[in-house]
Amino acid sequence: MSFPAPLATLIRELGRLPGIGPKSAQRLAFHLFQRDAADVDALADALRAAKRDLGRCPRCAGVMHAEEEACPICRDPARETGEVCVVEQPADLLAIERSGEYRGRYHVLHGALSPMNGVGPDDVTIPRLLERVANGEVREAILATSTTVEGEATAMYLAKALGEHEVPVSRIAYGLPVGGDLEYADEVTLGRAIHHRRRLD
Amino acid sequence: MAGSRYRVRDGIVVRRAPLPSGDVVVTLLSEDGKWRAVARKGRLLGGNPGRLSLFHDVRVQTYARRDDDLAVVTQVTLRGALARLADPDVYPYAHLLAELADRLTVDVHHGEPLHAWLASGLRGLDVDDDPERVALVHAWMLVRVAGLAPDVHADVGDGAGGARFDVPGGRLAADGEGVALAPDVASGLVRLVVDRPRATLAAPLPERPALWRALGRYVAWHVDRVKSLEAIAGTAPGAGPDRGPRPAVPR
Ligand SMILES: [Zn+2]
Repeated sequence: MSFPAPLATLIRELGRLPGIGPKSAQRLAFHLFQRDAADVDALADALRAAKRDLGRCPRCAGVMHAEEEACPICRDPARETGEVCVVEQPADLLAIERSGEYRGRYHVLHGALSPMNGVGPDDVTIPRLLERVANGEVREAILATSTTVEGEATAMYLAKALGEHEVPVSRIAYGLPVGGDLEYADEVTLGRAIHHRRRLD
Repeated sequence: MAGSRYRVRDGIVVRRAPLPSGDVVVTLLSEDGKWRAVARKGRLLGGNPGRLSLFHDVRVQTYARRDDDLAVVTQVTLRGALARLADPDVYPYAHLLAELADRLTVDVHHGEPLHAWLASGLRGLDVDDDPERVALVHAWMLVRVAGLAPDVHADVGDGAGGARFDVPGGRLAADGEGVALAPDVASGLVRLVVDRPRATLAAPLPERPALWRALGRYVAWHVDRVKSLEAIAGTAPGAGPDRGPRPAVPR
């Protein structure tokens, strides 16, 4: 039996979302069908509003309200420290904000270098970062790209490029999860933690 | 029998596709071919998929509920990681070898030699002073062991007199169809396609931009679109024949 056209369309559209397979799409579609019309309207409105009202910050490329001139972090004079923390994704920025340990500004790359996926420096916001450097906005860069090979390669590329502009660059520390047992740590993490150990004094 | 649903295989991670859920689909190349598995967030011992990084040589235990399901990674042991592959001077070449090996195993089974040459290439990139030469030699070796090497006509000799490279026909000859190659390019190509890789790795290899373009055109025609090669060889679709090569380290 084939689904009525509106249901088939909904399943198809849901199935195009990343991480949603055909079975999940079907389950979600039936779930939405069971909900009140008001709930479904609210969801549809939220989707439309998010698409309409969100934009990329022209300075850091983070997510912001499209009507603002820049994101709240870039507008906050208290964060005018000259420190810029470079992350791959907006979600990484939020994670660092939640840590409460950082008071400078950010730069969101929206990806990591991956030649096999056709992603080169111009396909992420590296040119924009170098513009910020040229404008004197970056006195120190903290590279907080992920610890995958892709994130590592991106960090090394940036270290080289920023070094040419004489911007001091640091890389976030590699370490072990707080509260974790050493014996369960993978050897890559453990090896890096030992390699980048610090002196206690 | 439940036990048979578990499998243990060694392989090199040639592709990783992280999903928004935090799961990662990994493609591995083993001696017995190419396979995929999903590393579910939180299902791995230690919870960290760090061992399943790109280019890592790993031993993986997977579990599949049914034959047609994508197997779930249940354990990973690291057999070898090469620290230098993230270096900007080496990174594009590591991508090239992994992507090319991946593309070459689409439908024909060449697992064992491809795995061996990919492993040898990645190891070479990790230690050699001339990663570009390592990449050229190994990229052609991957094409050769996949049985797709061009036919080198006897009249070319060592290429010192120049040659014609007929890309669609898969033929390198003293004359006839195809693009004209200058003597240094022709002799380099003869080396890469015919000689033992050990000898080529010890020899100077001039005219590299032209050799990359030759490989780029050949692979695009006979294998598939290889994105990391396009970045190196300047052979992206729409790139004119006169377009200069992009440097291996995009700047
Ligand atoms: Zn901003």
